[in-house]
Amino acid sequence: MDDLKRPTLDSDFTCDMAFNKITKWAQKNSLWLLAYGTGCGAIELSPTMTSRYDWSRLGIRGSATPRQADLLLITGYLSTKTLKRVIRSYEQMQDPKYVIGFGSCTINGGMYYDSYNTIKQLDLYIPVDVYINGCMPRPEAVLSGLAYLKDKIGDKKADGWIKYKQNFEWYRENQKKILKSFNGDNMPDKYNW
Amino acid sequence: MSTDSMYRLLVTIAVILGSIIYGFFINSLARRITARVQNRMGPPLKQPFIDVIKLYSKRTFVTHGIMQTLGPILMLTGIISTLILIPYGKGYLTLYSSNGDLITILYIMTFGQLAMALAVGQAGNPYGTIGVARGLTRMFGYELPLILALISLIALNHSADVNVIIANQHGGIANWNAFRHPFVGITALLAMLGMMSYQPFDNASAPAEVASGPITEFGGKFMAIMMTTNAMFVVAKLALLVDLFFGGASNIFILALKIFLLYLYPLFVGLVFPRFAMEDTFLFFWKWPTLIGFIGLAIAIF
Repeated sequence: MDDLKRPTLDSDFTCDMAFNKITKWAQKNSLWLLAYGTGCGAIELSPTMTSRYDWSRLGIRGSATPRQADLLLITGYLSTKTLKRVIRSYEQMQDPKYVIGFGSCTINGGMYYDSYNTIKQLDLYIPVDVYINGCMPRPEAVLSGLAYLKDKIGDKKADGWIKYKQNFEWYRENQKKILKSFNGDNMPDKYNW
Repeated sequence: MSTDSMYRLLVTIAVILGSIIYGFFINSLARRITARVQNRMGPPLKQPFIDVIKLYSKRTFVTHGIMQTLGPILMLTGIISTLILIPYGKGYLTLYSSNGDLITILYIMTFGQLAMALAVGQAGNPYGTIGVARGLTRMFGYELPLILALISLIALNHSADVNVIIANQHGGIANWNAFRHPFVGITALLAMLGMMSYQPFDNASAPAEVASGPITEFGGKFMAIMMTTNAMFVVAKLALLVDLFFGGASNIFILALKIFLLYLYPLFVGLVFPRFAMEDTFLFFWKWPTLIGFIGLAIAIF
């Protein structure tokens, strides 16, 4: 992580000062998330979205495709095979976009710390804005993580998507260490390294 | 420009903006009601506005070609054309409805959906294509009973002018077309279930089945335009049905109330019934509503 350049706020991020307050308010109060059920954490999303905890009252809603999503949830362990799809989905999402790492597995591998085919540290491959720890986090923890993300967006600190753009080569290098090539998956050329 | 046409233009702009706001408002009320039925709290009333502002403030602009960019804009054009041909009351609120009759409105209504189909075709997403195929099949389904009901109305009123049809319904609830000609009314109300794309007939966008159907490949600003358009379209469709079958409205508040009450009907039907398969949708529309529609037409003509 040492050679990761610190993201700087460039003009791209601060150009719309006039509408900044309104857009930030809208962006933090309307989060459409792509619940990418990669691991066991997805089971905690069902109570969070239904009657008991009901995240729609916070302006959060599931979205069907990465094109419409603002927030990518990596729910639990991530196998190397799934990482391909996660990268592809993340790059299809439209800026500004955020990532939540969900459960211990995304932080240090969790109970899969010595597994040969899972990712141990998620933010080597895609930028993570908020981690929710626990194995598994309860819906209360999920909601508090989402509230923390909202505060971060409001304070303009949820800048993972700028980090990814500015340190793209660094992230790609790390991805290439794990993934041989996207070849054969019917992918565009830039994914066939 | 004379003052008269100037006032008309101003009222038209007000109606277009008002329809966007009212469309979002009834949409969020519907989401609240759905949430209550499911024992949830539901999103706040301002949620659709927040969503649209957020979508307009997205930075990435992904497009696969000129038609995908133009599609949502053509859709907006089609909906505005529909909107200004429908009367919303008396005086200036009739907008430009004297320039076109029921047949023009029906013709222009489909324009937006066809533009959308072209745009999805260029986006090239298989889920989008499936969604469009389903949407157009459903349109084939519900348009037969709908047109039977409208032809019956034209035959009964000897005119295709919406203002004449409204004028003929004066004098109390018993004179409204939905109650005076029950077969025609039932046909139109059944066809309306297909028009509103709520639960039993939401095969086109079918959440969890074909991603989100036609809008799968559209995000950010495209989707913002589509949400705006959708809000306007809901108001336009409901206002037309209120004008034709529920006696029109003398002022804008009564119209708003009638639109909301009429909107509750597909919403509650949708909350009770699960989604139909595509062939069942088509069969449903061409069976019972069409049969009732033919009876209504026979009564209207003979």
